[in-house]
Parts: sequence; structure tokens; C-alpha cells
Amino acid sequence: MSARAQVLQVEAAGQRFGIEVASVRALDRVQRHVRLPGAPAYVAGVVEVQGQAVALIHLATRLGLTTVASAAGLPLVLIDSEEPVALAVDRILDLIEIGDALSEEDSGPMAKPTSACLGTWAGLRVLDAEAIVDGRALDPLPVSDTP
Amino acid sequence: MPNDPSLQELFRHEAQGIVDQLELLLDAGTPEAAAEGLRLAHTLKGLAAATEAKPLRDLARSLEAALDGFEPGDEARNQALLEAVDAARGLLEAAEGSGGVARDAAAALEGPAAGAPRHGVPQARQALWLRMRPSLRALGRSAQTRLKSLESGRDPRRRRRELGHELELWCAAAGLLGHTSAAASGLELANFLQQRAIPAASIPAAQALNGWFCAQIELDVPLDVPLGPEGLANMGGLRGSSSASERFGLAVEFPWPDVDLPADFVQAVDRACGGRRILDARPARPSSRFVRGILGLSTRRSRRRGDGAIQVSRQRLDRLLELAEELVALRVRTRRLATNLRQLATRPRDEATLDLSRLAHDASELDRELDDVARANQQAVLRARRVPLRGLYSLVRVTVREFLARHPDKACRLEVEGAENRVDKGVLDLMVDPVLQLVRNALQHGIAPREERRAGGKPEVARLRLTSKASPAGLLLEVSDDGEGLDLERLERAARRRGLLLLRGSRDALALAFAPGVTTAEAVTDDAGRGVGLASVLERVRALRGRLTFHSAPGEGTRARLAIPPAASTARVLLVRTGREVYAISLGAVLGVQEGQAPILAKRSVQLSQLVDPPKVPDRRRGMPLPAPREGERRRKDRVTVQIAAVGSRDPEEALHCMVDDVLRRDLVVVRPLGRRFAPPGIEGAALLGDGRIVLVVDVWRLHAGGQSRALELPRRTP
Amino acid sequence: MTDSPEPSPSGAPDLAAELYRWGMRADALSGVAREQGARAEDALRGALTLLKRTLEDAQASAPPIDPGDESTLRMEEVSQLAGEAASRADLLALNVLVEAARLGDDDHGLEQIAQEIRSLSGRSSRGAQEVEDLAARLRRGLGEARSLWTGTLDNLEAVGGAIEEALRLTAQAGHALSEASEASAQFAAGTRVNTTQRAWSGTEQEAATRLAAAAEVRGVSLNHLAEALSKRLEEVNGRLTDYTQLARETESRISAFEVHLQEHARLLQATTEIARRARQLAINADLAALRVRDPAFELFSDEARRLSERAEATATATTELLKNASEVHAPSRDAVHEIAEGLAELSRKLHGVLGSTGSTHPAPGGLTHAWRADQSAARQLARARAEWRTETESQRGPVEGDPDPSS
Repeated sequence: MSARAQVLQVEAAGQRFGIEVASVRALDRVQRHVRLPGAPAYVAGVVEVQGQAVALIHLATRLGLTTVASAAGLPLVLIDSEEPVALAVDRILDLIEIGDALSEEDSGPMAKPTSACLGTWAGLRVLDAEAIVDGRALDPLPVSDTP
Repeated sequence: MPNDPSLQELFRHEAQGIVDQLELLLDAGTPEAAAEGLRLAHTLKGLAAATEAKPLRDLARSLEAALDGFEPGDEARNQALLEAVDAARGLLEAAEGSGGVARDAAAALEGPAAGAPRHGVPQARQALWLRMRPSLRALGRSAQTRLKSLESGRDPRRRRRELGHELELWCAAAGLLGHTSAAASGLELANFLQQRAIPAASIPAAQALNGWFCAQIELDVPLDVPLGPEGLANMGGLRGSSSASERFGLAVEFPWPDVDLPADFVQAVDRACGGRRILDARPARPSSRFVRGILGLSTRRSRRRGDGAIQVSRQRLDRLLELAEELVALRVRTRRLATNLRQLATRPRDEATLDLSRLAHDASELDRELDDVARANQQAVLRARRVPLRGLYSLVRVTVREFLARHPDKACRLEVEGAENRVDKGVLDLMVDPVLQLVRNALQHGIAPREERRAGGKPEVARLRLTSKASPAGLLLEVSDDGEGLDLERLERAARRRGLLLLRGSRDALALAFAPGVTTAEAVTDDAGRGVGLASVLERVRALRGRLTFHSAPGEGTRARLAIPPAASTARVLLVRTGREVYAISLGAVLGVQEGQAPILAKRSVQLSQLVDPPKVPDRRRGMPLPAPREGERRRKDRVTVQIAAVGSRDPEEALHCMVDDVLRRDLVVVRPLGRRFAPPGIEGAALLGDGRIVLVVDVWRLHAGGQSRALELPRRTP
Repeated sequence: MTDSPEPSPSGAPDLAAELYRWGMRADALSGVAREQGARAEDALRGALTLLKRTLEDAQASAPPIDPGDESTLRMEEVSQLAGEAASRADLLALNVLVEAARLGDDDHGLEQIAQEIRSLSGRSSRGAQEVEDLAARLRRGLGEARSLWTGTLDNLEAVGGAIEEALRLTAQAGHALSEASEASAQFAAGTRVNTTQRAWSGTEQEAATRLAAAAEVRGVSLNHLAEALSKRLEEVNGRLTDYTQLARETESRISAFEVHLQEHARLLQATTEIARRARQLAINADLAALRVRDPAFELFSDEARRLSERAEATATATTELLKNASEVHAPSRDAVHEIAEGLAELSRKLHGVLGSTGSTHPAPGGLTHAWRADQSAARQLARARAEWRTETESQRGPVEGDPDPSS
């Protein structure tokens, strides 16, 4: 068992984020989806993934970075949670290994953990997947000037 | 010989193996496969000849001829080949099945060997070998003559080739009988003889080969190589090597390094080679391809055809379920057919339209019947698959008993409830592991030894409860104990040790217990501590599309609740359209459908469009794509009213009148329930239509009720 | 005419002799002319038939080279399939890696599987690119071949027109010559009777004069005809040479498609290889699923299997494409080859008709020769007549209607 953890890099609204692999159940693409009436704005609808119907959250909108246009055809990350929820992102990049723990000593406003973000590792903001998908209110993310 | 049934069986078996192989090779259709097939056909011919099975031999001969001129892509020929192979199989099967003796062309081989063991017929083999020997001897002598005339330069080539062919046949049979060494040398020789141009330098080697061959046959040396790859590795081939030939004029590799050749054998070989001493001890080398081929055949025990023994009834049930699903699919098609016919029938007047409308009516009837049948079938099967939880409970009891026996310092009482509840067998099978895991965790970690408990003020005997409750939403099963609870700090430490991320306290520490690889155990035992227990429980629960509620705290014990939904189901729904979106309403609740808007006096009327709050700006990219409305057709709002019964009352007065733009059709769909988290009340799930589209299944009453009290609904944090 | 005449008493014998000779020649010439004319006509007609048949054949087999061909469309399909497969494969690879990370990948070989998927995906998208490129090239090439083809067909029709006209001219010339020969022969027959006379009657003189004049006029017009025909035939021949050239060019262009077909074959190999590895991958994925015993992983192995099926579909589609392309290629190449051959033959025939000038024996080219001989005879006749007139004038003075002796 490796002592280093792995993180899935994704891109949303032009910025890169990391999601801990332990939270990731599967990767896929949004194919058929329907609008979910009465749901919050960041819920792009309902998709069918791996035989289940799950809610689809548009990550960029959820993080307050943009407003969702359409989620059709976007890559999605199925988040492992009490109920699985799918996150629609702009791009799925790759798996990387990162250090033992998130560093708290990274300087700059970017490094501060927020309710959405567990911390930063080498400039990559690692998201708290559970917080993203359980619908709680999130602190706004500081905007990064480097993509 | 034809009267020896065990021998017959032996050959039939081999022949069957060859035929099977041939079929595979023909399917491959490559030139290499054809070459291999050619060799097999050779062998088959030999077999058939050896057992005097004339029809089979003729067939094998024509197979050989056809394979010889093989050209890939020659469809006609390939077809003919496959037919020949089928015929061969037919011949063999006829022999197998027929109890009696048939000496005519129809039965190639005589008499099945009922129950005669396949292996262990050494006597039969030996008998056949003895019978074959004279022919082989004669062949060896012919070969000697041929080779001599080759040396002198006078040689009729045709006769040489024929000799080669015969040698091949007989040696193939000999190989099958286990005289693989003789077979090998004979076949090499045959190969040599069949060559067009024979280099003079290799004639001595061929003579040596022949000497070996003749010696084997002459002395009937039981140099039986055991059939199998090991034996094969021990087999040598004869080669002439030029460097050694300087010493002896010729050198031969001795195939069995550890075996002493009997002196008379060595002499026999020398004699056969015209007095030249040729044997020399050398390490073994792999044998010729022919022999490998033969051995490969022999060692490949027959493919058991027709293995389909009757399986246990659960598989049959599964099959029935499949059939049921097929029926559903069929039903969908029938429905479409009916619709088409109905449409056809509405076209302008003809004699034909009368028939058409009748057909349409019939088709609708059929559709209804199929509907009922399909549904009933499915229900019946699902019901049949349901078994009580009793079996699982017994397993738990056994587990607890065993544990307590191994850990006498712990005491525990198992309380069970709800053993009579039924669950789908497949689901039960998948539940066993997680439940047992939870129980083991409780026993191992949750329950402390007697002393500790007493010291902590708890009763000595711990309590472990296993309860289950059936509900329409599925099965609720709970494993709880009054033990220690999880030590979250230790858990966190262990997780950190493992290098898991997320150690910033934002994640519920409890969830750490479910991360793979985290364990607080100091050592791995059989029962727990590998760190995969709870994680696997979670995986399994998710695989069952269920939910796991887990509560554990120091001093409070542990409670794990599994909620397993019923097996996948289909639902009959009514598909309606409002705006550009389609929704499904459970048909059970629908009282009726009326043209026009809701009656003014209706107590409760709603517009579906209001309930689902469609976007103000028509956005083609959202929701499902619908076919564009025909030209000139404006959106006709709220043209149809669906009466939806209130719970527990089918009184139209109490019904909810829901207005939609259009009613599309009834349908039978597969429903996937939606999680509670983001779905507002009233959205039950997503249904998959026959054409692949998703529609939401709505409970209109709930939507209506929810809408009235709807504030901005933040998704609830689950407790 | 059996024996030559006795010389006449006055200057008349020279003319008479000349007339006689001319009559004889005319007789012979008429036969030759008829024969020549007939032969020329046959040759031309034969050429025309051949041309028509070539044209028909060409038009019948025309369709194969259609740039909007199914095969090029199907190539796009194939490329799309491959591209799709590649992107799904990437996703699958990531999924497998994620799963491997979650399970800690204790020797489950999942990483290897993910690598394999990645590599297959790379090959697949490269393959897709290649197919696209090939499709573009094929389409371009086919377009060129098509326009060459239609050009050839058009030109063939034009050639047909020219030959038809030549035929007409030939018939015309042959006919005129034949007629003239008939008249001359009659006159020659007449002169034989009169050669023994010392002096011709006025009517005879007039007749002779008229004949001579007519012969001259005819000579001129025949000259024109001959020139026209000659020119036309030269034209036709020239064009034929061009078109033959063109057809051969088309043929070689189409032959060049062999290269493309070879590329097809290479592509087929690549896609088949991908399909094979995808199949292996699917099997490995199944095995891993069994080892891992995680239901989620079974979905991945399903996906791998689906990928493998798609790869197989791609390989099958490519095979079909290859088959279609070969089927298209060979007949079109053969068809054009036939046309080229047909044109060459035509050219040869017409060349025969034009023939070598100045040949004395009745070869097909002798028609021109016959005309020229006729002209020269007419010239001689005119000279003889002029001389005779001068003589008779000097004997009897100018007669009305006589052409000017000095002309």
C-alpha cells in the first residue's frame, strides 16, 4: 500500500482542481440527462451512470465560478458518497500522486483551506468532494491567476 | 480387431478429438491452420485405416485433398470442408450412438464401448501394435531399399512418395498407440521420402533414421514414452550432423539421457544401418512436429460435448427472468406495431382499411394480453426467487459460536428478529459477506473481554442484535452491539499512517472507517484487521444500490443499518408532455384522461408545467430533445387533463386534475430510483424509455403538495 | 476498248487519241474510284462502329469512379468509430487507474491493464487519423479520375462526330467520282466509234468541249473535296492521338491507386491488430474483475469488452472498405484500358484510310491517288482540247461558245 495518495486532476472553468481518488467511483461522460425541476441551479439534472440515476452537479457552477450552460457531453466524475453524485467538469486530466499531506504552509491566499477545498499541493487545489456533493453552502473560492 | 470394443472406443475418441480440432482450424481459415489441418487429416486417415473404417478413411482422404489445395477466402471450398468435417463427426456419432453392429458403409466404426475406461487400455493397444508391426516392418524394409537406390542414383520417385504416404499413415497410428519414438522416426523418414529433391548428404542420416525405426519395430522395444509434455521433452529426433559425421560418418542424438539402451537394440540399429555405428550419447532435443502434433492430440482430452447438465433451479429462474424481460421487449414492439397499424387504418377509405383496422384491434388485444402475461411472469419469477433470511441468520449464529469458542474471554448473546422476512436470493447471496463482516467487526472490535466490560460498568455478557424489517421500500437489516464503538482518534492516526489524504478534519472521521486500508488493529487476524472490512461492506451495499447507515461512538456501541431496495422493477407509466419535456406518471394512480382543460368545478387542478417549473426561455440544450413541432403548430397548452387519484381514494371528486400539453402513450419502463439528496419531493426516479431517452417519474400529488410549501429547498444533510 | 485508234488525218488524231486515252483511263478510274470509295467508306464505317461500341462500353462501366462513393463515406465512418473508441478508451483507462488506487492495487495488474488501454487508445486515434487522411487522398484522386473520365467520354463523342462527317464527305466524293467516271466512260465509248473519222462533227466537238470543261470544273471541286476530306481525316487522326494519350494517362492514374490500396491493406493490418489486442484486453479485464471481485470492476471489464467489439467492428469495416476499393479499382482500370486500346485501334484504322500518298496500287490510300490521277487526266484533256481547238480554229475560224484558247 503506497504511502502517497493519488488525486484526480480535473479542469473546471479554466482552473485545475484535484479530487481524492478515494472519493471517485467512476469516470464517464454525460450522455443522456434530464432537467431536474426544483433543484438548485448548480444541479444540471439527472444522468444515468453505471445503471444508476444520479444527480448531476456542474462543478464550476457549484464552486461559484460560472453559471452552467449545458452539461451535455461533458466528462463526469462519479463521486462516492452516501448517495453517488456525478460532477460535470470541463476536462478530466490525469491521476497524480501527491505528497503525504496537504501542506498548510503554502503561501498565498490560494493555499487557505475553505469549506470547499481541503488544501493545496503544489498549486493544485484539492477539493473536499463530500462537501461539494452534499449541498452545503460553500465559501467562495479565491480566484487564481494561474490556470 | 474390429471386435475389440475398448480399442474401438480408443480410436473413436482420438478421432473425435481430431475432428473437433479440424473444425476449429477451419474456422480460423488461415494457410497455417490449413497446413495443420492437413496433418490432422493425415492422422485421421491413418486412424481410420488402422481400424478398417473405410468410409471414414475415404472421407479423411478427401479432406486431405481439399486441404492440400487450400486457399484462403475460397468460400466454396471452405464450406465443403466444413461439411466434410460435419460428416466425419456424424460418422463418429453414429458409431457412438448405435448399439448394434453395422458393417455397411453407414456405420464407420463398430459398437460403442459402454463404460470402457478411456485410459488404461494397454492390452488393447498392445494387441493392435502387434497387429501393425508386420506392416511397419515391411515399410521399414521398403524404405531401406529406396534409400539404397537413392544412393546409387536410380530411383523411381513416385514409388518413393507412395511409400512416404503409407509410412505416414501407419506411423500416425503407431503414435497414437503410444509408440511415439517409432512414430517419430517413421514420420521423419516419410517426410524425407516425400521430398522432391533429396540432397545426397542427407541420405546417410535418413538411413540412420530408418535404422532407428526398424530397430524399434523389430525389437518391439517398450520404449514407450508416457503421453504428455514431459514425455515429449524426452523424445529426441534423429539428425545428421556434419561435424560428427566426420567421426562416425554420421551422428545420432540419443533421446533419453538417463536411459540405457539395451545392447541388442543398439546392435539392431547398427545392423539396420548397414553396420555403421551410429549411436552416440547427446542431450535430448525436442522432437519433430509430427510427433508433437500427435502427442498434442492425445494429451488434449476430449472436449466434453453436451456438457449442459441440468443446473440448479436458480439459474433456470434467472433464465425465466430473462425470458420475462424479452417478453417485455416484445410487448413494446407489439405496441408499436399496433400504433402503426392504427395510423394506417386512419388513411383514406378502401376495402383494405377495414382489414387494417381489424388488424389493429387484434394487435391491441395482443398487446394487452402480452402486457398481463409479461407482468405476471416477472412477478412470479421474482416471487419465486425470494427466500427467507433464515439462512443468513444461521450463518451468523455459526460465526458467533465459532468466535466465542476461540475467544473464551469474551461473552456475547445473539438476539435475532425477522428471520422470516424474505428477500431475493441474488440479493441475499450478496448480503452474506457484508453482514458477516459487520458481525465479525462487532465481535472483534466492538465487544470487549468480560473483565473490561465489568470494569467499565457494563454487563459481562455483551449483546449483539441482528434484526430485519421488510418494507415496501425494501429490506432494512441492522447489526448492532453494545460494545466499545469505534475509537475515532486511533482511526485517524491509522489513516494518516497509511498516507490517506483528507486529514484535515473536514471529513467525518467516521467515514475514515470506510476507507480501504485503514485499520486500528495492531495485527492482522483471520477475523479482522486487514483494513478492508468496512470498505468492502460499503462497496457491497452500494452494489446492491442500498444505503448503509453507520453509527458508532465510544461507549455507545455500534449500529449498522443496511437498507436494500427491492430488485429492479418495471413500472407502468403514462407518458405526458408539457412544453418540450416528457414526464412519466405512475399508471396505478391514474383514474382517467380527458381532452380539454380541467373542469371548472374540480376541487384541485394544477398545470404540470407549473409544477415542474420549466425554464422561461426555451432552451433547446436543456432537458431532452423532442422532435420539433410541425410547422405552423403553436404550442397548445394544457390540452389534456389527467385525473390522478388521491391516496386511498379512487373518487374522482377527490382526484387531482393535472393538465398537460399532450398524453403520449402508456409504457412499461425500468425505473431507477433517484437518491433523496437533490430530488425535490415528488421526483421518484428516472425511467429509461425503449428508445433510450430518460424521463423523470413524478408523483404529481407530492409535487403539488411540495410546491405549495416550497421554500428554496436546500438539500438536506443526511443524519 | 481493244485497240488503239489510228492517228487521224488532221490535228484531230492527237485530241482523239488523247480523248481515247482519257476515256480508257476514266473507265479504269471509275472502277478504281468505286472500289476505293467503297473501301474508304467501309474503313470509316468500321471505325465509326468501333468508336460507338467503345463509347457504349465506356458509358456502361462509367459509374465505378464516383468521388461521392460509398467507400469514401464509409471511411469516414470508420475513422469516427476509431476516434470514438479512442476517447472512450482513455476514460476507461482513467477509471481503471482510479479503481486501482482505491483498491491499493495489490498485484491486481490493474495498472498494466490501464497502460494497455492507453496504448490501444493511442493507436486507435492514430489509426483514425490515418483513415481520414487516406480518405481525403482517395477522394481527391477519385475526383481527378472522374473528371478525366468524363473528359474522355466527351472527346470520344466529338471524334465520332468528326468521323461521321468524314464518312459523309467520302461518300460524296466517291459518288461524284463514280458519276463522272460513268460519263467519261460513255464518252470514251463514243469516241472510239468516232476516232476513225477525220473530222468530228460539230456536236461531237461541242460534246467534247463540254466534257472537257466539265472535267476541269469537276477536277477543281473534287480537289476541294479531297482537300477537305484530307484535312478532316488529319484532324480526326490528330485528335485520336491526343485522346489515346489521355486515355493512357487516365489508365495510369487509376493504376496509381494500387498504392492507395496497399495503404488500405496496411491500415487493415493495423486495425486488425488493434482488434486483436482489444480482445486480449477484454479477456485480461475479465480476469482482473474475477480476481478483484469488485462488482464495480465488472463494469469496466464490460466496457473493455465493448471496446473490443467496437475495435472488431472497425476492423470489419476496414476490411469491407478494402474489398470495395479493390472491387472498384480493378474494373475501372480495366475499363479505361479497354478504351485506350479501342482508341489506338481506331487510330490505326483511320491512318490506314488516309494512307500514304502517291501509292500506285489500289491500297486504301488509293482513293486520294485516284482523285489526283483523275485531275491530271483532266488537265491533259484540257490541254489536248486547247490544242485541238487552236488547230480547228486555224482551220475554220473561232466558233461561238468556245472558251478562249488562251485560257
